[in-house]
Order: sequence, then C-alpha cells, then structure tokens
Amino acid sequence: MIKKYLIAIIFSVFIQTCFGRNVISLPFVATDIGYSKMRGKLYALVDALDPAYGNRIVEINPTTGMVERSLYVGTEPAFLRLTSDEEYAWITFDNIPFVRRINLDSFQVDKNVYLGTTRQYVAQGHGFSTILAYNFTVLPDDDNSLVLGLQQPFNFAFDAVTLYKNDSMQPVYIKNIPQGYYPFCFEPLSRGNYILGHFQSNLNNVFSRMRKVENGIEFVDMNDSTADAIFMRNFFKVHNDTVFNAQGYVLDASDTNGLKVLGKCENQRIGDRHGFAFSQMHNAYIYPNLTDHSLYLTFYDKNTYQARDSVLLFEYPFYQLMMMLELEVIDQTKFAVLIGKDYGDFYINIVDTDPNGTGPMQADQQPEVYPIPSTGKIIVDGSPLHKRICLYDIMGKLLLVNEYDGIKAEMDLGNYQPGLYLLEVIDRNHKDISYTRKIVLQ
Amino acid sequence: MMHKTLLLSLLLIHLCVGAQTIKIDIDAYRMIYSPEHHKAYAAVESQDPQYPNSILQLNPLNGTVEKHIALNGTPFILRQTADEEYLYVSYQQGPAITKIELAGFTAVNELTAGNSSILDFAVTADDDNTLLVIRGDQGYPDDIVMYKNGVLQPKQVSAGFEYYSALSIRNNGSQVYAHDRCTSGSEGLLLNILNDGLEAHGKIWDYQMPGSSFIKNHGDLLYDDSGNVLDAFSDSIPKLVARMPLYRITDEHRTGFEYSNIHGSYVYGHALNYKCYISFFHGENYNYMGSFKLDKEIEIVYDLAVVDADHFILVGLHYSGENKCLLFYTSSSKDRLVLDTKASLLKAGNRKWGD
Repeated sequence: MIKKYLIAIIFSVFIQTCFGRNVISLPFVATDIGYSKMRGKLYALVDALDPAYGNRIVEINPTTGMVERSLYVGTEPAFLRLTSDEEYAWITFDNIPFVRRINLDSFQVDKNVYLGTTRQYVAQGHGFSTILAYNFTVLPDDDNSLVLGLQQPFNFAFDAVTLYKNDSMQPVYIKNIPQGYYPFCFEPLSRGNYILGHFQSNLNNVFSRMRKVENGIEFVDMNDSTADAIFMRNFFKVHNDTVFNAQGYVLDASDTNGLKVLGKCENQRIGDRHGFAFSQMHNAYIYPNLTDHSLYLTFYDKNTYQARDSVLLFEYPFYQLMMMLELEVIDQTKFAVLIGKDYGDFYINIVDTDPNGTGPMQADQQPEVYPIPSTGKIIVDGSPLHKRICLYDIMGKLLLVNEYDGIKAEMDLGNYQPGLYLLEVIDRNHKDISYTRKIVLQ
Repeated sequence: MMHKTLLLSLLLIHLCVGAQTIKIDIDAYRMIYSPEHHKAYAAVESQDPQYPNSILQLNPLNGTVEKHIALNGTPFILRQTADEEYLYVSYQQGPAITKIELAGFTAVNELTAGNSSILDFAVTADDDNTLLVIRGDQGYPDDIVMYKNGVLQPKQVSAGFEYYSALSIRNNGSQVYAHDRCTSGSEGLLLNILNDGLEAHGKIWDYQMPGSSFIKNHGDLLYDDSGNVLDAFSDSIPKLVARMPLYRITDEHRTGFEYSNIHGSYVYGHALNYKCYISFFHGENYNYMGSFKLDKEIEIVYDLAVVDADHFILVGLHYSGENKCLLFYTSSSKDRLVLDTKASLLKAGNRKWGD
C-alpha cells in the first residue's frame, strides 16, 4: 500500500498537462518498451540501477501511467519482443547468456534459454565461450521460435545467426556473412519464412536476407539498395513485407530477387529517427520530428510517402532531449515514446495529444463477441453507437470491413484459415473510439 | 509551528550526523577481517615509513595498530583458514608462504614453493595445511599445484598458454576454479581436487568474468571486482548469471569487494570522481540498493572488509597521492535509512526470477 501511494505521489508530480496534451513521464529509466493492443498494456524493461523496478519487466496502464505488475527477470535486460499473439514477451540481456520468456497472463518467467549451447561456433584455437544475444526477433505464428544474433560476451565478435525452435538451438546456423556485413537487427518476412537482417556503417547500408530451413537458418543474399548510407543506428521495421528504416526509406521486400526502394518519408529535422512505426490505425508511417525545442510526430501517407500531418508531443530543449528511441502507438491520439539525451538514459513518456477527444471504448459500451473459439460464425452484439467491424490477421493485415447497424451482426468467417484474428468494433459518432477483441477460429 | 520546525531540524541533524571516517596513513596493499578474533589484518608495502614489509593486527573500529610482524619481503595475498585460527601470507616476489597463528599473532611456519613466485593460493576448508598454489615467474603462471603439510603433491596442472592468477575453491571442497585475469579472453578452468594433487576438469572457457582482476566466492557462486557473478560449479558449463551494474557508478576498474551476510548484499568499495563510496547490491537479484559516500578523496579502492552492519574497512589510494591508506568507516543513521528505504522498495517483489 505504501508503495502504491509512493508511486502515485511520484506520478502526480510528473504528470503535466500542457497545451491540451496530457504527458505522463514515468520516473524510471527503461531500455525497451512494447505495447500490447490486445491487453491494452504497455510493457517496459527497467534499467538495472532503478531502486524500485531495476532489472524488471513492468506492466503499465497507459491511461494512468501506473505500474500494475512487475517481475524481476535478470540483470541488465536489453530487448523486449512481444509474440504475435501477444501472449508472451521474450527478453534478452546485455551481459548474461540467457534469453527468457514471460507469460503475460501469469506474469512469470516460463522459459529460460541458456545460450551457452552455441559454444561450438567459437573459432578453433580459442577456449570455449558462453554466448550473448545482441539482438533478436520472434517469428510470427510461433511463440517459441526466435532468430538470434550471437556474440561473445563484452566483445562484439560476431558468432552466428541462429534459430531457436522447439526449445532448442537448431543445428543449421549462419556462421559467415559475406564481407563481414553482420546484421545487427532482424525482422521476419513472408510470415517468418525469410528473415531480413541489417548492417550499417558510415559507408554501407546493407540488408541480408536469410531463410528458415528444416533444422535452422541459411544465408540467401545481400542487398545494398538504400545506397546513400548515413550513419545511424541499425534499425528497421517490417509491415506486410514492406520494409521501412530509420532514415525514412520504404522498400518492397516481397520480391525474392531483392529489395526495391519504393520511396522515402522525407524529414530534414534534426535528431535521430529511431522510434518509428507503421500504424494500422492511422494508415500511415509515423516518424519523430525533433526540432531544436519540440518533439513532433509526423504522419506519412502509406502510398505517396508524403507528410500529411504532424502532432506535437511536447516541448523540450534539444540539449535535454537528443533522441527518441522507441515509439508505440496506443490509440488514435495516444503514444508512448522512449526518449533520452544522446545515448544515455531513456525515459518513458505517454502522451495523449487530444485527451478530451478519443480513446478506447468504455467497458459499459463494449460489444459482446461470441462464440470464442468459433468454427466460423461470430456474433457481435453491440450498441446503437457501433458502426463498423474490421477483421485483421495476427500480422495486422486488414481482411474484412463490415458496416452494421450496431445492434447485432452475424459474420461467417468459415472461409478463413483456423488461427488467431483481431476483431475491431468502431464507434459510430467517434470514429477514433474502438474496441479490439482477439478471436480464435478452429 | 515552532515546535514542528524544531522537531524537523532535530530530525535532519540526526539524519545528517553520525557517519565517521578514520583515515590511517599506512601503505597497505591488502586487508582482511576476522570475525572470530574481531581484528583486522593488513599487508603493508615496503615503502611504508613506519611498518614496511609487515603484517599488522588492527582494531577494526578505529584502526589502532595493536601488533605487527616484520616479514622478509613485501606481503602480497592474505588468506585465512576456515576456522580463522591461521592467516597465510604470500609475497610479491619469492616462493614463500608464511603461516601466522592469529590467537598469539606469531609466525609459526613457512612453506617454500620451489623457485617460483606465488601468483595466488587458496587454503582448503577441511585441512588448513593443504594449499592450492598458482606458481609462476614474473607474473606468468607455470602450473597449479597442491601442497600438503609443505610437501608438493605429484598431480599438477600445467598453465599452458593461459595466465591463471586467481583461485577460488568450491564450497564442498571438490573443485577449484582458476581464473585468468591477465588476458582479454578472461579464461577460466575447472580443476578437480584430488588427494594427491589436481587435475583439469573439462575445457578452458573464454570470457567468463571479463575485465576482472580478483575473484571471491559466495557459496558456489564466484563474483569479482567488476560485479560479474559466475555459476562456475553447478554444471559442466560455467554460466555468467548476473552482472551488477558497478561499472555505471565507478570510474576505476579496481574495487574492494565482499559478500556480506549481515547486509544480505554484495558490498563494493569504489571511487567515483575522486570520492569514495561503499555500494550495495542485493544478494539474490543483484539490484543496486544504494551507496554510502565517504568524506575522503580517494582515487582507487584496493580492498574492503565488512566488520559489522555499520563498520567497514577500506584500502584506498589518496587522491593525487602515491601512498595508500586505511579507512575505517562508521555509517550514519542516514546511510541506514537510505539502504532500508531502497531495500523496502525492492522488497515489493524483487525476488529471483521464477519465484
């Protein structure tokens, strides 16, 4: 109880309302964040030095900024990745050779993967070594499959890109990448059958394509299609096999012959653009836009890549804020950002850019959706305010839009493959207010 | 209102006073505390004007030198026997190890390890006359051997191309971990302890405790001066299980460190911006719990011992000085409040993962 009061007091000091925006600044340093749309929770890894939440994963209510649950996960947690069904979070660490999985229902560690089993990769003539994961991705549709980049501890000596599947490291792995362009980060393509890696220096900007095979992963080819490399962090994201990176380039990765530049979200403002996203809700690429005294988010049309709108998050002198590391879209007007000065400590800010306008549907207005699981028919029992039902697959791809009277809708989804889907119900009067529900087709 | 102000002032005064640091200008290299005898023992360098090449017995609370033994060389490493009846002392140069009986504080025996120097040694828990020794020359190890009652045992392990220079014995006495603190690879090797010597157990492991110079053990976990924690013994593969973020709060690699049962914490003495600190990390989940700031300007901390809940001894190098000193620190109620507050925050559920 004392802890709750303490946190409430701290939060109340930090909560500020400025120019019609609500900004909640969380009082701890975080290393990574991830938002679960289905759970409506923001998850963060907290820096080792924090006295209350150090070395923990915390579950945050994005409306209040309150930490609702927390769990010690190990020293110096580094990267957080949610599984595509948002049932689990995988975590890597800066200096210990483990990867751990958190069950987000029970909020307990349910898998502890020791990476030392990859010791056979170490070069001849050395002793054997335990191995760290320097970055990784979780493959879609499988909560227990990871592609991991491995290195020797405390010393970036590339060791391998490997596939962890079915509770073990797979024997086929990538030990050499041509020209030493070892990828620093990974994202899945083609529903996880291909994996894209990225290497960047001040001269090179190289994507590596890798392929999942029966017992592991193999190298396919390289692509240097973005050409004019600017020294920025190795970072890119993928949406429906469209790749977009920190520099604003958008590339088509669906062609097996290589990546093709589709366009660029132009942005001449100062600051690194690490925290960026494609938002299904906004149907736009979103990039941070850091001027010398303010942080904006700029929305780019998904077809033309032209800036169509910007929203001010908060004012901040540039010497106090040098970088936005992560961006999570919570709803139409609410965003969680991880910001910091230079490459130092990063803090979570949750910003509601229009606190009086939009948000998630109130509990008493939410429709009933049943049966779950279903063999095909889904009934949505709503209120007169409800207008539209959208069906998405687990990758966020829009599959179906159904306008309805808001009272009751019966949908036949028998033509869709068994699996997990997201069903979104949108409010009639306030198109930005919606309710999302996970459904299972058998 | 006046009463409230007065009470608040008294509370602040109470919180802000009480910490005390006694600095003794003795050029010590290492120091050790014996709870059994409630004495501190310090190995003093050759350049100390008053007690060169000596072992001192000190009052652990105020640093008063009670007794001293003059040695025939500069003492290097201090090891107590498990029952704290004896203290072994090796030398910075030369093959001797001197055995000191602590009750009477007299040298009772001397072992000679051939023509080599002693890079490190450890005393087995079940026999205070059995020593495991890294022998070498000019800082380069030759082999790791066992001496029983001063007699070299036949089974020995060659150091090969590794630079082993620190030893730590498993709690059950069956194995010893040899650490290479000299190369960037930070190799480690497990050795089985036999009746008649030592044998290598398995492979040499790279990058075990990177950057560390000295290692100690807490149960079967090894920890070092950089905050690394290694599970060296529970499996055939040593696992780096934690790294306390010490590197974030110190600007010198070298630290004094010790696990404290009293505090349930790993305790590190270290310097930051020429100030001296004692920092605490949780004994089970390794979280940072807070620091005490000493009012002395120190460039490097070389050693640390925990006397009790409120008393600590450090070996430090003076800021802009050449000689080291001993610091006897008594914590204040404010220190304890800081530590208790952070401990209570952690208590909210910062257990080991999976608990």
